[in-house]
Amino acid sequence: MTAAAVEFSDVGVRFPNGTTALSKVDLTIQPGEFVTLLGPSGCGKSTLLRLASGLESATSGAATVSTDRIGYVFQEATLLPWLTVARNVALLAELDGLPQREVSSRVARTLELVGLQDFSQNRPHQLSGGMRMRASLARSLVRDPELFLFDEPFGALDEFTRERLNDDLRALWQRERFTGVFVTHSIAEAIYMGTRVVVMGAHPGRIIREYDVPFGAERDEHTRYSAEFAALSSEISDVLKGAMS
Amino acid sequence: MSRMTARVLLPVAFAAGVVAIWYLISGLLLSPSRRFILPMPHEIVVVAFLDGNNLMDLLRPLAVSAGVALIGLLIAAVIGIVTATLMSQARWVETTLYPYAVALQSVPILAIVPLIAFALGYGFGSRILVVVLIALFPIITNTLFGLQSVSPQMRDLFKITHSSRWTTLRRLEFPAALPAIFTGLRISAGMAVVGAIVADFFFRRGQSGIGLAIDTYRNLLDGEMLYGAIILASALGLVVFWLFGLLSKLAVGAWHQPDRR
Ligand SMILES: Nc1ncnc2c1ncn2[C@@H]1O[C@H](COP(=O)(O)OP(=O)(O)O)[C@@H](O)[C@H]1O
Ligand SMILES: [Mg+2]
Repeated sequence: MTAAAVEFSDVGVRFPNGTTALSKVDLTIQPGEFVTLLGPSGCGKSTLLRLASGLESATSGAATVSTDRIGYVFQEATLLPWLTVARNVALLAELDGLPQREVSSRVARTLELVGLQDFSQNRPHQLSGGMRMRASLARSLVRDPELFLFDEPFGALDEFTRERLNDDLRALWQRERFTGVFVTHSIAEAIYMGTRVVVMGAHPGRIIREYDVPFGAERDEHTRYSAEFAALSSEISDVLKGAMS
Repeated sequence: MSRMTARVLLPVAFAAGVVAIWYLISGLLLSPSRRFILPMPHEIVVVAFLDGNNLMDLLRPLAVSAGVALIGLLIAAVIGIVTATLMSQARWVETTLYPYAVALQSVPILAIVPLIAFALGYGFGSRILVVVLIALFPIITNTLFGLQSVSPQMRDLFKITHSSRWTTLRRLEFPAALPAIFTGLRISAGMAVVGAIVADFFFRRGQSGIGLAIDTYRNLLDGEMLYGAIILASALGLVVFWLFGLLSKLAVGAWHQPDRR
């Protein structure tokens, strides 16, 4: 059996100010999974991602991550405004110390993957919100990440743009085969995107339930309107409501 | 009247009004023997600016003061940017030095003139030190603000790639701070000109600056030259302010629009 991509056992994170962000978290993520995290704000979703990326460390229990090749996308695109799109996308590959030729060919390929090849010389402020988010995805994708972390990446976008990016990100995942951990506030997005939905609760931040998503690789708008999708949504919705009361 | 014309016409009309009142006071209220207090505008132009020798007498000290301001500003920029960078790198440096940076701003230069004279004498060096003291604070605070304005998430991305502090500074914090650094330089540049002129009054050895020229013409009751010197000194301040605005636009204008988000 191959090693898990992420293995948290009995993990707790307690900040110096006394806040317990995570408590007794057991979570194993296999390579190639796409796990979505749902939960009220403050339940430790971002902390869990930071733990997986090594930015935060567990104060109790054991958190193991099998790779150092990590992609990270935030709600804001956080591109560097003084760099062109191409230079923004090149940034992490350069910081990784890849040779310039390799960086250039990766940037070209990655821009194509996210559909920004015609905007490589633009500056971020010249792009729409959706395009900036694509550039932000590309910036991490260029590292060829094994583990890709998403912290409410499409939360600030309009619904149409968000659904397109959902489909494009799913296609990218199927093609590039990274392991995904995706935080969202939307139940529908969590089910549509995930192979598994992990529902968290607050005070203290913990995992309440997990659901294997019963849809295969082929998903489209019909999936969203299917009876099975609706049933799972309402079940998760009930659990979330229970977690918040 | 369109808004653009209004924006040009109204200030011009205002200036015309001021000049008219000026003529009234100078020509009607002041007796010729007291006219040096407020000479007629055209006489200032004729005497101070159209007479080649007189103009040179004003431009030479103006260039000296401009040089003092520029050298002092450069020294302040180097010290200020380095200090702010150290502050941004180590909290304890900021905690240790920041109170003194603030204190520096409230030191009355007048009060420490004897001290400066004691250390550096009454010449060029003292004038430059005054400029440095006056120009330092805005550069430190603006640079520090700029360095600290980087989003925590960008810092996280640099951490994930195990980038060194130096790399993070060079590729993230410093470029992000550039617009703020230019804002600081622009403020300081204006203050440096003021500092250089003020310092002329106290530190009179060596080539005289425009401040000393102003003082001299005041003593001689030479109204035309006095006003000519004051106008040129003000123009120097304006030009310097405008120049640093232009520099800032050239350096960061392609990506930083102060009036946009
Ligand atoms: N660096 C920190 N220091 C102290 N408390 C923190 C820190 N980061 C997060 N927290 C707290 O930990 C809890 C979980 O935060 P977070 O992981 O951001 O939640 P979520 O992403 O689910 O909204 C919150 O109560 C938050 O205030
Ligand atoms: Mg969060």
